[in-house]
Formats: sequence, structure tokens, C-alpha cells
Amino acid sequence: MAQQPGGKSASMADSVARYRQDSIARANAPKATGNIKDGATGKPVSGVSVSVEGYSAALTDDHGHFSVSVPGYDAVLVVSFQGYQKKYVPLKGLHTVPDVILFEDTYSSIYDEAKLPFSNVPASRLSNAVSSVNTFGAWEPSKLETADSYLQGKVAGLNVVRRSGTPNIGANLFLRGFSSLYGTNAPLIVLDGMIFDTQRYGNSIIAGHVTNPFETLDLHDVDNITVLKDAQAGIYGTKGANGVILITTNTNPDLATKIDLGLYSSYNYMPQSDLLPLMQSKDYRVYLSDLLHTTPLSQDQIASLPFMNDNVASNPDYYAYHNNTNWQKQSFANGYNKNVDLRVTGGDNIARYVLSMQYGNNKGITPYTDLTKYSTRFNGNLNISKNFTINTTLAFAYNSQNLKDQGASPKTSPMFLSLVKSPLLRAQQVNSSGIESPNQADVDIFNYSNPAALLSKTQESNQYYRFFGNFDFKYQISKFFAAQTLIGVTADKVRENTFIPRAGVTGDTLANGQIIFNRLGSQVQRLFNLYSDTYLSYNRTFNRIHQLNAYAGMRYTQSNNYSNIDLGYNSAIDQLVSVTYSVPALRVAGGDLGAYRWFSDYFNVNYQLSNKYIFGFNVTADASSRFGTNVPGSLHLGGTSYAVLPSGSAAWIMSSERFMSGLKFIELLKLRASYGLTGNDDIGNYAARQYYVSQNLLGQQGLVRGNFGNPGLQWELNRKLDLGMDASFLQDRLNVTADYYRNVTDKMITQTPAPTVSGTSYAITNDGGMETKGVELSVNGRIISKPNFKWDLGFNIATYRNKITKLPANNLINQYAGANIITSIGSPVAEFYGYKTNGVYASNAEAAAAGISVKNAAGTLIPQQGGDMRFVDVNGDKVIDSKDMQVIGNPNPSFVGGVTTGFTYKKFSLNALVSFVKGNQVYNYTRRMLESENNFYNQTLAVNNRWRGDGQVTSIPRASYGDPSGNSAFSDRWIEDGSYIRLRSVTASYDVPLKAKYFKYVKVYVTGYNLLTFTKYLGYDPEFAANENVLLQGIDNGLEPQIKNIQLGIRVGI
Amino acid sequence: MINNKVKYLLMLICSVALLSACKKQWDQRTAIANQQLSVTLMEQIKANPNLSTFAKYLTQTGLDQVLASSKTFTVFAPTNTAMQSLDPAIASDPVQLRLFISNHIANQTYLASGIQSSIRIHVLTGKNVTFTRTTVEDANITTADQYVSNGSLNIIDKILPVKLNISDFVRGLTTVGALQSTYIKSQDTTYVDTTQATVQSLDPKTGKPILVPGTGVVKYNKYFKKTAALDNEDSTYTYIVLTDVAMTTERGKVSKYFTTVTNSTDTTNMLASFNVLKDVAIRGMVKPADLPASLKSVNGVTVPIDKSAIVQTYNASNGIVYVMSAVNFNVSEKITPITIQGEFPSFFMRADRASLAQYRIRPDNNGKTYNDMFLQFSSSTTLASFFAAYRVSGLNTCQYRVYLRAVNDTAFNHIANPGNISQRITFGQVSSIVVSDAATGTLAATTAVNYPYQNSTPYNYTPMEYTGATAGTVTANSTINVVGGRLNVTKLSTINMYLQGANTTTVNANNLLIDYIRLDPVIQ
Repeated sequence: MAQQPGGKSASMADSVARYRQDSIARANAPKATGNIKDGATGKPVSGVSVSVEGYSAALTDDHGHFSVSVPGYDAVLVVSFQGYQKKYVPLKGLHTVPDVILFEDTYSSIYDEAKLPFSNVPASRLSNAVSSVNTFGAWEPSKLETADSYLQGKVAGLNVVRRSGTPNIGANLFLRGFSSLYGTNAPLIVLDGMIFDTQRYGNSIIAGHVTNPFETLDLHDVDNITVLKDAQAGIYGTKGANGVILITTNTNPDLATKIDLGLYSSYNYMPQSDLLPLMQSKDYRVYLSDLLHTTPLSQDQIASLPFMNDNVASNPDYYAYHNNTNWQKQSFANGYNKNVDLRVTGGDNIARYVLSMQYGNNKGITPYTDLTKYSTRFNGNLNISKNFTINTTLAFAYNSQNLKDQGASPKTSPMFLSLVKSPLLRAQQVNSSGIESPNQADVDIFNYSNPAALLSKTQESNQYYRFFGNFDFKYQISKFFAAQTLIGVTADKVRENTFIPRAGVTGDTLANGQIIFNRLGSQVQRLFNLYSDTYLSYNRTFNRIHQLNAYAGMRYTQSNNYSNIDLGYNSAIDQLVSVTYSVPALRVAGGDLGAYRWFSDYFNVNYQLSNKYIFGFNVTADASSRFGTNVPGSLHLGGTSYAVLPSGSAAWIMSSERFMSGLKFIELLKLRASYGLTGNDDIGNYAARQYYVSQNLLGQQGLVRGNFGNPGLQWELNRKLDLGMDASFLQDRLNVTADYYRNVTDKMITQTPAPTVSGTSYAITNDGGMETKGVELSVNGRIISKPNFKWDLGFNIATYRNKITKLPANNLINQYAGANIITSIGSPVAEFYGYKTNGVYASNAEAAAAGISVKNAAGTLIPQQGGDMRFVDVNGDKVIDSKDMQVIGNPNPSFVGGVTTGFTYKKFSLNALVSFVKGNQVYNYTRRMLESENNFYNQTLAVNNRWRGDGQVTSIPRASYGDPSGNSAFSDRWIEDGSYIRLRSVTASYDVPLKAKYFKYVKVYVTGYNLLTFTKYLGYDPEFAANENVLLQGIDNGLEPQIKNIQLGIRVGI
Repeated sequence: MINNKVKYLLMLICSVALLSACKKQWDQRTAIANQQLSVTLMEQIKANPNLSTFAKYLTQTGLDQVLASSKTFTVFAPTNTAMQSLDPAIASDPVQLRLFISNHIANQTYLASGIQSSIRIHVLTGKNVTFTRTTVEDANITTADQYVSNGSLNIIDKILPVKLNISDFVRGLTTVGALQSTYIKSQDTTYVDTTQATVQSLDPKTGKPILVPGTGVVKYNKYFKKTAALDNEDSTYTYIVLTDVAMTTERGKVSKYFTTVTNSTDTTNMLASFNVLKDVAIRGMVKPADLPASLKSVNGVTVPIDKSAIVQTYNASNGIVYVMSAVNFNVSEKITPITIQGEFPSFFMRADRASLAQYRIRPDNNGKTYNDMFLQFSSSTTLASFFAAYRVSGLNTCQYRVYLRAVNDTAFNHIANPGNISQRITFGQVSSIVVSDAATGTLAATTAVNYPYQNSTPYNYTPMEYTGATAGTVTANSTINVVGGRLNVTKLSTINMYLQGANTTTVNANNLLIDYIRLDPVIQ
């Protein structure tokens, strides 16, 4: 079967060579006959091309009837017609095929083409686990979507976790679970044949922010996204361990000049009902009374505190501390987004082009994360001569985003402070007679910052530029041979500036004891990647039954990154916001330089026998500057260690066999298996080398050894096994794909504890192992197919089970945001590890009878009393300490998936996407802060149920300042079910009927985004990712919640 | 077809509506599980018919607003029966009534169940009440720890009348104990605290603030300051008021030790009164049933208690007061020895030798540390008969025995073989110092009482008594003399005491060494 234009011409040539013989044969040849019908109306379609590739072709007549010569009754008919899907009909020995029905070309069919690295292959002919998503221009989704988050719920086995509601913040992508502890777990992104670098080279200096490379790729430019899930990813060698996502932009431009204009306006909103139920002043002051009762302050001292003294005359701070401010409400602001897209396509038979430009201004739902984006992309196809073509892609994007600190930054995050700030206070300064000043209030008596001051005075911005472009030269050497080379460049720059004012913000103390007031920062990160991919291809069909496609080539990457950070403190006044005004003695400068080279030789061959038996084989040999020079057991050439990674696949299209011809309801039944090696080269640029780091000792700068070089350090090895099945029933109306897989990571990078005498705390070695098994199922179908009314429904679900098989120590415990995270052999990665609780002691007598003490940080035993949490004493020693910790939650979901549905009624259509996650447990750090009852943070209304007196049965412990009894320790109180079902997007569109001359079409859209979420989770939103690190999943540290958004769009074609 | 469409649309709308109805995952969590937590103290009191009188008075006095507010309180609500014992005079006086009701309310939530034995808590009147698991003051708690949204309610069977504190009680005495009451009132005084005063302006010449008259005036009682803060609600005392007869008796026992220069009877009376009354306050509250045979006063003096001498008992808000017709103090505990620490000399014979004095911290033979002064000359600095002088005041008018402790050891004083240190002690009037040599600043003391030189032998840790004093130069208006070879004080005054080295210039033979000198009164 021809797989791409090059391949097609080769096989055509082959058939020409056999033409004479064929033409005689064809005259007497057997004929296959049948009828072609429209899937919706059931009426015959005339003019449809029905062909046997390289042999014969025919068109249907007015009755939709065709009769075509076939070389034999095992041939496959190719049915194609503009506006309809392309379809492959195997004869299976039949002379008259059953009626063939065709759906429209946007139908999600088993014959959709996946865009593989070397060729486009219909899903029905794939021997690997591949999912392909066609965007059809992605005109409908919200403009807040980027290509990574867009995939949520669309691909079985791809778990997309959006990081937060900040515009364009993107998502963590986990394809088929995890493969690595310290290396990347993100799939490799290949954009138009070139690696799209999504690694992060340094953290943002804006707390809680990550720069998302996907924001430089406008979703409207994306045509197709193809996900390689199994060993086929091995074609990218040591970059393929987490699978590969191939993205194609703006392909196949038409010759006619077309202009597409899209205008979008949308409204982001945060409904009141989504706010957390926090205490108002009345409840809060009662809580404060109870809390202060547990401090050493006397009754009189408490009564004279400015918020307790209700006497206006004797209390100069009466008005400053007698308010009822809803801070939380103030930290959200509904916003408008404006976006414009323009796309021009056209050309002639020498040159064709697509030029697209986008502008966007997106506000988010907080008054501080607005994003302005500009991007442009040029895709061109040049036919220099008959055999020589050049394809080019050039894209440039610039994004400028205003931000504020987010996440666990208790002194500077306005969002966090708006939750915990006392409602007794007010935003503005006020004098003793209650007259408000235009100045914002300073830090309060509890030493908490004023969120209003942070919102209005903090200046944090991120400017992001990326140029991504390549030229792809192709020369057709002969009928079967072609040579192709792609050369491209990624140039990327992130510039960040931060300023956090002194007024209204709590100061901080540096490690050297210096007190800091305002904080200033500046960072520049640069990335320059050179990439080339050169290969020879050979495509040939022998005797119409042996089809061979072979590719041999090499890829090369040189990557240079650079970053420079300057942090300063204490500029003289809050009007001096640049880091140059900070106090020189307190300034901290830092940076990073990184470079690596990667070289990969590859060979790929695909062989199909009789259109029924499909075999594929890949092998790559990778060299990288990251690898050790002497990797044991590897291929050595010229002093370099090579990662040799073979993989293979086989598929049997069972339904093309003659014995299946009687089962007419089966359109396709294909069994697949693949197995192979992939690798992960994200082991650190210099971890294999020995290097020195600078160190300051008593003011003297010097160099000390940073590590021990490990010449044996190698890529992580990932073995992928996949068994799958693709099936289609009822004339392509119901398609099912199911997969079972097992991914085993060997040589996993670990931080092996090093002996104390070595002077380093750990060594980086290949001492770990991990295994992930899983099952995926996706079902798509057309439920109703009527001329004016169509209903499509798709469903996918995936589950995985992850297990650590090898670690240098038995377990690994990490701390983050007050949580303990354990990774141990035989268990999934990164489980939550803490105490289990069993209610609250209802009385002092009950606590005394239990006789259990809590060991505090100083090692003192504190006996529990009425109102304390009843922790489970695992070892029965009557002391609650680290020995009583157990696994209390697993952030890995039981299953994730999505439901897509689309209705079309005449010119209206309605599309919806529902995504769901089930069975993951998450750690609600924010709620822990809001229900700890141990400091002056505002609390949730649930704390009104706190224990007050003997006999009260409740689940909320007593308020106690400083929490000597450890009631708020990391326990299952803070672990919640993170399951959710979300109506992620719903779009209604209308195709405006037009008679006007210059308009080709006008379409109007209404899109709702995140409109409904069903969850038991008690935070703002059950979907978040504080960090990409696989060890820190499922921790809600207080990022902006997902945005609800309603978008109106109009698309005009000229 | 249309039917289908409508059906599916309806299905969609219904499912959306159904699902959005179960949106609020917080509702169950934030609902008040315990109904008691949704009512305030005021509502809880009103709901109990047995507390209707208390509730009525709360409303009448405006304190109901307080109990409905968003702070926490502990309330002791007397039942209607208990409220019947309230004096109608209080009930009819709004100010008194508010004070009375305030006495039943305390800031903060205190739970009876959390009390180990008893605690004292502050009620809104500023008084303290004693709170145990079952009682508050004299009242029994019939229902304890009814917690509601803003505190806890205890129902009690007796009212809690507002008690006077000890100070107010004693000041109010007019008949019995009038002498003591008068004395205490006479000790009231004021001072100006500049930090609390209002500044009118700054003096242009000195830059010092000129205060608005009458501002920053702080009242205090000198007697309370020196003994016990009887007007403080937060500390508890047992206090004894002496009847006038007892007062006169006790004063008579000590007044001969307070002869003044002017022979003023009033002054002697004042001083003697203080000497008596400084020891009638005892820390903590000792109830009549618990009274032992003797107590220790706040100044550590034994207070003999004769229960039969108790004339009246009053339970004050900050303790208990006993009016007693007799307290037989032991004079020897009232007229006490005076110790002069050697390391605090007032001056030396010559100021330029002051720097030779070493002020040392040393352990004695029992390991106990003491501070002393050691003054050692070199050959170039040596002076004969060098003395260190000390100011001594507060001596009573009686004879004194004189003891010197000077531990003569070798450890750090650079004497290879410590010999005896020969020193003498003399006493003289403050006015009897003259400059004998203006060039060197040498002072010469004229002394009235001279003890002879005595040797401090090495390693002697016990104080050595000086005896055999002889009269020296007796000046006019002398307040001391020698009686029976001892220092005798005839009038209350401040005198100088001199420790003098040997009359030689030989190095190490004329050292001065002193830990302390103790003057023991001879009680007659």
C-alpha cells in the first residue's frame, strides 16, 4: 500500500512496468462490483473513484454502482471522493462487495491517516499503538487552550493534567504512566519533523509559574497530532521512552488563494459558588478567642488586643480591626479575552504557502495574569524541479504575561493570602475615627501581608520569544529511492522581571540573617538548538503483494542553554523597581550554562504481505555527550558508547481473510503486537563527567568537587510490550481499539546515597527499576446518521499500574509542602505517607483512657487530651511518631479518560468533550492551611464544628495555638479523592447561509469551557499540577483554579 | 426525526440540571453538626426558664449584647432561686446591678472539665473568681460546660456577689483596726510618670519637655509597694488586721529601736508601725479551717497565729482578711542583722588606689560562691593604714555585735605563704571625714567607735567577731558610742564604717580583704 506521495509514485512506476501484461489480464480479468451509498442519506453517490492501487480504477454511475477490474479477489479497493472519507474495502474473495457507505471527510474513522515520522498511514494499516487526532483547524476550542492541554480526554492512555488556570500555563503530559524518577516523563514532541524542545532550562523566579513552550505554537496552526505510544517510539532512540507526539501544522495548502479570518471574544468568570466557604468576622473572632485561649496571653491581654477591644474610644485601631472583608472575592476578577487569527493560503504549482498570524489578549480570572500573544507562522512548499522539493516551516511567537506569585508562598502570593488573611482587617489604611486613606494598609498585627497591596503593587512579568523553523530538502533519486534532509533551528528566550513591594508585605530573613523588605529579581534564559535529520528512503511494491518501505538516516542535535538570575533586596523606595536599585551587599547572582549533543543513526523497515500481514522493524544507535564514555555492555565505536535500541511490530488484519467474508458486520479486525527498546537520555548534561562547583567559605570564593564522575552512566532503558486490537463494525460506524501494554524501565537513574566520607550526599547511578502495566480502550461511533441529524459519540478510558522494582535503598521519602512522599519497592511511585486518623477524642477522660502521647519535633511526649486527633498507633507503643506513618494515599488515578460527542442538525452543530479522572488521591495543602487551627489564618466554616467541650463528637479537633498535639500533622485528614468528571468544552456552531459573492463561508461559534465539574474535592479545582516532577504529583499548593470561560467566535472565509 | 432531536436535547438538559444540583461538596462539611454550636450564650440562657431572672437582668444591663457578640465567654448563671437572695438595693441600682451581673461573666472559654484542682479566672468586673470542677467561689455548679457557639455556660446555685479586695476592705475600716487603716491610707502618694504625661511644649533653653499639669500622675501606696500589692486582684494574700490594742502592743515592743535624732514620737511611731505591719501580709489564701500555728509573712517573718484572737474574717476578692486582737511577734525577727557587702565600698582613703581593689567571685569550702574584695599593694603603691569606707544605714537604736568574714586563701592572691591579714573596723559619723592631704587626695576619718586590729587567719571561713571596742573621738550630735566594748546606736542615722589595713608599708602585710561585715542587734 502506498504510504506517501514518494511511495505512491514508486509503486505506480512499478505498475507501469507491468502495464502491458496487466492490460491483457484486465480485459478478461475478474471484476468486482458493488454500490456506494451516502452514510447519512442512504442514497447512492455517483462519481466516486473506486480503484485497485496501481492496477485499475473506475467511477460509480448515477446509481452509485461500480464495476472495477481486480487482479484477484484478495485485492483491496480504495474508495475516495471529495468531501467523503477515504475507505479501503478488502474483497475477501467476494465478487460483489456489500454496499459501501461513506461518511463525510471529518468523520472519525478507522481509515483516518496517522502522520508517522516517514509517511502517512491509515489507522487500519498500522501495526503499532498509535492515536491520531485531527484538529480540523481547531477553530472551535477556547483560545485558552494550548496544544498540550487540548489533548486532554482525546487520546486513550495520555493523561493530561493541566497545571492551573493561568492562561497558557499548559499541562503535564504522561503517556502510559511513568518511566523515570529523576528523568523526564514527558513524551517527546516532534513538530513538523523537528524536535520541539519542551524541556525547562531553569525555574521561573515567579513563584508557582512555569514557562510553557507550547504557548509559542498556536493551536489553529495544528492540523494533526499523532501519538506513538508503544515501541515504535524507539525510532527516536534515547528520546522515545515516554512515547512521541508528532504534530503537523498547516499542511497541504490549496492552490486557490483563501483568506480565513477568525475573531474571538470570551469572558472568564469565577462564580461565587466556587469560592471556598471561609469564615466571616463573626465566626473568625470566636475562633480567634478559642485560639488565643491556648496562648500564654492572659485574659486581660487578650481582651485588650485591637481586634478584641470593642470600645471605639479606648481603641485607636478600632476601625482597622473591626471589619468584615471578603478577601477571597477580591482576588478574583472576571476578565475578557480578545483574539484574532488571520490565515492566508494560496500559491501555484511551483510554490504553495500558508501564512498565519495571531494576536491575543487574555485576562484569566485573577486580576494579575493577563497574557498578550503575537505569533506568526509561514509554511511553504516549493517544487524546484520535478525531483527536487523544498518544504519550509518558519514560526515566531512572542508572549508577554503579567503574573503574581502563586502556590506555597505564604508571604507573597495574593491568592494564598486572600484565603488566610483575617477578615477583620481592611485593604486601606484607616484612622482612629474611621476615615479611610487612599494608602493601602500595611502588615497586620498577625504579621500577614495585605493581599490588596500585593495585587496592586507587585510587578512580575514574563516575556517569552521563540523562533522555530526548518527547511526540508527532498530529492527523488530514482523510482524507489529518495534522499531527504531537514535542517532547523530553535531559538528561545525567556525574560522575567519581578518586584515585590515593601509596603503591606511581610519582610523576610535571608539565610545570612539579613532582614529583607522589598524583593527584586531579573532572569534571562536562552536556548539555541540546531537540529538536522537526513535519510534515504526506499519504497517499493513487488508483485503487488510485497510492499516494502525502508528508511535509513541520522539525526543530530546540538543544544545550548544559558540562564542568568539576579535577585536583589531592599531598594530604597517602592518606586525603584529594578534590581539595579537593590542593596549591593544583599544581591545574589547566579546562572547556568548547559550544552549537549545527540547523534542518532536509525533504520526503519516496514513490510506488508498481501495487505494482511504487516511487519515493522526499527533500530537506532544513539550517541550523546550525556552518556558515560565507558557504558558496560554497550556498543563502543571510537571511544563512544552507543545505545543500540531495536524494536519490532507485527499485525494481522484478520478481517481481510476470506473466512471472515461472511461476517458482514465486521468492517475490520486487526491484531497487533509490538516489542522493543527505547531510552531516556534525560540523565543530566554533565552527570557522567566529573565537575567542580563554586563555593563560598568565609567570604573566600573557591572551587570544590561537585560530584564523582560516573563513566558508566547510561541512558535509562525502557522496554515496551504492547498487544492490541483494532476493530470496526457496522460499516465503520463503531470503532474499537484496545491495548494492553507493559513498560519496564531498567537502568533507571537514582540518587544513590554516598558514604559520608565522600563529601557528597549521593551519587547519580543507574540503580533503579520501574514497571508500568496498563490497558486502554477507545470506542468511537456514529449513533445517529440521518441527513439532517448526526450524532457521534466517542469514549476512551485508560488505566495503568505502576510499580517500583528496584531502588538503591528500600524506600525514598521526599518532603514537599508539609507532605511526606514515599517511593518504595513494590509500590507505585510517590505515595503519600503519614498518619491515619480515627476521629477526635470526645473528652479528656476518653483521651486519658487511651493513654497515647504524640512525640513533637523536640522529642518531647505530649499526652493527648479531649479534642485531639485520634491517630492510629500502628505499632501499639502508645507513642505517635514516625514509626506510625503509613501509606495514606496514591496520587495515581485508577483510570482516566474522556467522552467526545457531536451533534449536527442542518447547519447547527454541537460538540462536547467530557474528561474524567477516577480514583486518584490528592493532598489538599490549601485546606490544611485553612483547617489547621494552629495560627491566625482564616479558617473554613468547617472549623465551626471544632471540638469545644466534653462529649462533643466531631471530626474537627480543637483550636490550639502552635499545635503542640500535632493535630494538623500530615495525615489522611488532608488526603482527598481527586476524582472528577468535567464538561471540559461544549461548542455550538452555526454555519451562516450566504449568498454573498466574496464570502466563502461565515461560521459562528459559542464555546463554553470548564462549565461544569463534578467532584467531591474540597479545593477550588481537582485538577492541578504544582510541579512536573513525578514525585510531586497530586499536591494542591494553591495555584489559580481552572478558568470557566464562554467564548463567542466568528470565522469568515474569503 | 424531530421527536428524536427533542428527546436527545431534553436528555441533555435534564442531565445537566440534575448534575449541577449536586454541586456543593462543602455543604455537608460546613453544616453545623452540633445544634448547640449554632446558638449564642444569650440564646442559650434565654432558652432555659430556670435562668429567666438572670436573663432579665442581662437584658436590663445591656450585657446581653456582650453575650451575643463574637467573642468567647464563660458564664456562671445563677438559677432563679439563687437570684432571690440578691439584695433589692443592688437590683434597683443600675450601676450596682451591672457590676453584679458582670461578676458572673468571664472572657474566654474555660471548661470545668479541664481544671486539675482549681483556677482563678477574671470576670468582667476585674475581680477574680475561684473555679473548680464543681464549684465557683461558694456556689455549686449544677450544670457545667454547656458549650455554645461563643463560649460555655455553667448553671450555679448561688449568686456571686461582688467582693471588696483587701485594700478596699482595710481602707473601709473605721472602728476596729482603725490605726492600721489610717496608717495604710497615710501611705498613699503619687508621682508623675513622664511617659504617660501630656507634653505641653519643650523648654527652649534646656530642650526638656514641659508637662501639662495634672497629667501623668500615678497614684500608689508606699506600704503596698514595700510589702504586698493588696489592691491587685490577681495575687492572693492572707492579711491580718490588728485591732488598735494589738497594734499598740506590737508597736510598743519595737518602738525603742527607732529613736530618732529629733526624738520625734510621730516618726518613731511611723517607723515602728511599718516594722509591725510589714509582716501581716501572707502570700496565698489560707482559709480559717486551714490556719496553722504560724505562718510566714511576705518578708519571711514568722507570724504566730492564735485562732482565738480572730475577731472577724472577711473573704475578699483577692484573699482573706483576719482581724485579730493579738499577734505576738518575736522582736528578734523584727529587728534583724545588717550585712555590709565588702565588694561595694563607698570610697577609699585615696581614690588613686581604688583600681588596686580586686572584686572576686570565689567558691568557699562548701563550694558556695561568694563575692569579696581583695586589695593588694605593690612596693610602689603601698600605703600604711589604708582603709575602705562603707555607708551604713537602717541601723536600729540598739547595741550591735560586729562580725567580719574575710576568707584568707592562696588561690589567686599571689601570696606564696599566706600569713595572717591584720585589719581593724571603726565607725564614725558621716560628717567626720576630712581631706588630710589635698595633693594626694588622702582622706582621714575621725572615728567614734574603734575595734582593735585582729588577724584573719588563713582558710578561716567562719565570720570572726570583733570585740573590745574603745571610744574614739565623739563629735557633737553623735549618734553612736561604745557600750560594753560594742557599737551602740543611739539615734537613727547613717554612719560610716571603715575597714583599715595594718599600719605598715610592707608589701603583703597591709592587704585589705573582706567578704562582708555583719552587724547583729542585741535584743534586750
